[in-house]
Order: sequence, then C-alpha cells, then structure tokens
Amino acid sequence: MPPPKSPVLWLDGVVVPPLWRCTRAVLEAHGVRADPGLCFALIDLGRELGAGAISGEEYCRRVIARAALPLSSEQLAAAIESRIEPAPGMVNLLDEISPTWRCYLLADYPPRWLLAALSAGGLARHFPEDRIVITAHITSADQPAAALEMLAALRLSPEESLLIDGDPLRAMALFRAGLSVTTFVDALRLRREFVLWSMLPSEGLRLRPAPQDHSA
Amino acid sequence: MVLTRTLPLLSEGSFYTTIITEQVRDIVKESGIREGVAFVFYQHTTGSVMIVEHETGILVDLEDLLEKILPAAGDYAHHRRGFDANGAAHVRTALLGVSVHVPVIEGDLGLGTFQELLVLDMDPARRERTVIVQVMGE
Repeated sequence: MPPPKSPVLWLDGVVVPPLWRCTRAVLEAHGVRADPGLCFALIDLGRELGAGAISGEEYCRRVIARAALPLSSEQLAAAIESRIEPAPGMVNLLDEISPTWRCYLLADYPPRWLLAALSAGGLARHFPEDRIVITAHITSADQPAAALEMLAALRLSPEESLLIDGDPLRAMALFRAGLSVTTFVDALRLRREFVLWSMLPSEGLRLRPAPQDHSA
Repeated sequence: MVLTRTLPLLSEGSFYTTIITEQVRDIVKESGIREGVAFVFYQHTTGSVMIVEHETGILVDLEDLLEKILPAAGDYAHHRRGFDANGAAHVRTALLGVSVHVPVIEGDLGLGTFQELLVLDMDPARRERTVIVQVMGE
C-alpha cells in the first residue's frame, strides 16, 4: 500500500481550466477566431504571466494587441475573471477528499484572478491562505527544482506529497525527479488515482463496467 | 452506418501526450451506433495513438525504452535531406503505428477499466495535430 499523501494541485489546468482556454472563450465571444497560432500565443503569454515576467495588465494588453480585440485591458480582465470557474467535477471531488486529506494549491495567477478562481463555485473553503503558494515557476525547464521549492514553501516533504499536474511534460519531469505525480485529465480520473493511492475507499474504482459477452 | 469526425489537438511536441477517450466516446454516442467498431487514426507521421493505462510512470518507461532503441538525438538517414531532424519520431511512429480499433458495445466504447486512448506526439515541434475517428456499425 502506498504511503499517505497530501494532494498538491495546480490551480491552472487542474482546479480551474487553463487560463488560455478562459481567454480563448472571451475572444470567441467577441468573434475572434482562435486558430492554433493564436492559441499557442495565449499559452506562451500565460507562461510569461506565471513566471512573473509580465503582469496581469500586460497579459491583457498583449492579448488585445495579438487578437485585435475591441476591449480595454480592464474590460478583458473582467471578462476573463467571469470565465474562471471550477473544472467539471472538481468541487465535488475536493468535498470528498478534503475531510481526510489536506489539499494544497500551487497558483501562478495575478491576485485578482486568483481570488476570482477561489471564489468560483466554492473553491475557497478548500484552500485557506496557508495552503496556497504563489509560484513564479511554471515552465517545464524549471522543473523539478521549482516543484521542490514550492513544496518547501508549503512545508511539505516530497515524500508526503502527491503532485497533480495538468501538463503531461511537466508531470514526467517531476516523476523523473522521484516525486509522486499524477497527470490530471479530469476529476473522474483523478478520483480513481486517489483510490489507487488508498486516499479514498475503493468502491467506485471502475470508470465503466467491463463489457460482457453477448450477441448483437 | 458510418460516422467520421476529426479531433484537432494542440500539441507541444517532444513526447506530449493527450488522452482522448472521452472525446471518442462522445463521437460514438453521437453516432447512435450500438454495435460496431471505432477506428481512431492519427493523421501524421511523427506520433501515434495507442491504448494504455494512463499513468505517468508508464509514459516515462515508454520514453526511456524508445530513447534506448531510437535516440531522439541520433543520426538518422532521414536527416540527409536537410529538411528537418525528426528522424527518430518518424521511425518510432513506424514501429508504434498510427491507429487503433475499439469495439463499440451497447453504444459505448468496449474499453477495459484502465484502458485509455492516448495520443503521443514525438515531433520536436509544437503544432496542431489531427485525429480521425470513424465509427462503423449499426
């Protein structure tokens, strides 16, 4: 049986959908077609934001310039804020696991969007201030050193932590460093991971029943 | 009855993986087909679609194995053309294949408990990728 773990979740891409998707939704609502080039540009801007290289206001300015969006920075920030909501099923899963396991959050949003994310759908009650670390490290190149620094900031040892990451490449880098990590796909699959780590009871382990023999 | 759909995927490349099980399941449900087969096809030459348990350690093991037999930074004849340097991704793809079939049973994918449909992009470059899903049956 694996040792007990404290779940450490990334805000962006796990607890809430990735920021670039929220931004894309705003763009599309204003008639801007988000082709792959624009989507990758949004991803890159999000990384700069997460690395602390640009502010939230600068993020908005650059998005507006890149997409020729007819909004002010303030309007775009408010629109993005309104699009930040919990990932499907995440609130229920946190409700289920929080009574037994202390959950922690790695966040790289500007304060305004962090507050919006935490207030969305009742997420704040799961992450009091002492269980959140704002990280300026987000790129895969910075891992796993960045993850170890973040765990230290939360006063968690790697041995007692289960990192939940929405970025598959970053998750692999963390795994190679000896950390316990699972790549987030959706809340249903994350629940199954918690069961496999013996953090939730095994009832309901199956995502779906195995097919039975029958004739069509 | 045959239903064909395409799934566009944004990939960072360099062993970037995407689970598409639920998207394919949605297409099966959209088709209304109760009994048949879902054909899932990766429309590129530097990646693969496969059925695996989605666990980070398995992906690390797979990457390690491929690196041993076909190093990403190896010297490949494909590079002589001078167009690009992704020979490892091409040869790895030739070995892994680009498609899988999944039985459709009672209107759903007949996958086992831990089986997931995973797209693996081994090209060094980030770009949009396309998966074709064809559901056939009645």
